[in-house]
Amino acid sequence: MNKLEHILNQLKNIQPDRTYADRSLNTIVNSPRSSRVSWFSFTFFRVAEYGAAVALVGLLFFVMMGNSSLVELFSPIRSNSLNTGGLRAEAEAIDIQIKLLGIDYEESSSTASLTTVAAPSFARKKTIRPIAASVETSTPMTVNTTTPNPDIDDVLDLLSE
Amino acid sequence: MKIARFLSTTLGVFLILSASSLPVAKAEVKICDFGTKVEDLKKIQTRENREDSAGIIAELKIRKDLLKITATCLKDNTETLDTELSLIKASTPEMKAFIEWMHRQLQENIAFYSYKETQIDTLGIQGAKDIARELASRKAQADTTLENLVISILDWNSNQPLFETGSKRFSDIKKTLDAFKLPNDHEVIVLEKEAVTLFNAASLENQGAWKDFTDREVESGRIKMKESLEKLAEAYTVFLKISEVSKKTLPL
Repeated sequence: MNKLEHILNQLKNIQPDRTYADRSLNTIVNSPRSSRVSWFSFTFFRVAEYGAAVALVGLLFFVMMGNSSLVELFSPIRSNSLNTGGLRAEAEAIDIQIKLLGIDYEESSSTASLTTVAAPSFARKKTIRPIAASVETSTPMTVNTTTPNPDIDDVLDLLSE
Repeated sequence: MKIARFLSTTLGVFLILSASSLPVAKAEVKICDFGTKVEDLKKIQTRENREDSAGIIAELKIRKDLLKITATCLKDNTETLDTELSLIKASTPEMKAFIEWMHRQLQENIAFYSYKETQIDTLGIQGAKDIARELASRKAQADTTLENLVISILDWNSNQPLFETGSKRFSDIKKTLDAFKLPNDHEVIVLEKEAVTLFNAASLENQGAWKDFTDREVESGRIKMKESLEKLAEAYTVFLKISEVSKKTLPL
């Protein structure tokens, strides 16, 4: 037992060869730091990953919103631009808008001839619903379904008398 | 794991961008309802003895009720106009300034109607008549100057997507036709030139309408606005002709 302790105590005094220790130290100190490389590659791949995600989203938007195939995206020929159905739909939307504005304008012109107001009052049917337009409201107690709700101007005239 | 994270990132970005392009909800319009009060007022005004106190009190109450409904309606409708105006996305600093000016004017009217609303409870018959005249006068003034202008601006703004769509459509058609390098006398090219003229004229009228509105020339602005759409519709008629001829003569 004492012999074993003696051997173990001798192990504490073991030293490496001086030349070998110096060479090893130099090798470690002069070798490139691997941690910097891993940080760079980590950042690079993260940026690439997010960049690819955003690019893919952009591509998806192009395909969905343009209703185009990938080949069409990179071709100068937009065959969809001459699609008759799409053109007709857009032209119809313009016609509807003209009719809406036309109705407003005709109504305003007719009121202009009847009043002494300097400029006509444009009908509000499209942008703003008329103030007293409906008899179907959520307050049935006060609603008279046989007589239409009077115009606000008429009410003010009546109240002024 | 990495693929899952990549896909979730893609989905996230897609959802954020999609949400940002969603349309904004339009302002809800409240409907003004006078119920039977107008008839009630007419009826009580025809009573034989106009001097009896019970009749006067009843008439005053109906008048006050009607005034409150009217003032609230005027205020609510002006607020609705203001809300709709605030949804317009100004594309230039001038446009922004003009919209802000209209907003301030509308706010002044809202403040006026609100103030009159607070006075109603303390009124007598004559006071109620005076307030009715004040409201009528303010409304007439607002209708003929500010509100017609705001309504016209809202109409003009609702036309702009049609012009944007038309511009994109025209640009795509032009790119397609350019790709074929057709001679100037080709039927499609002749039609294209016609479309250019009409589309440019429509755009000019559209800009002219805006200028008239900013100069407070509402009526001429509305006429130009209507003409701009009519010219745009004519341009689309030519687009359709281009489409028909192209399909017959070009390898599409």
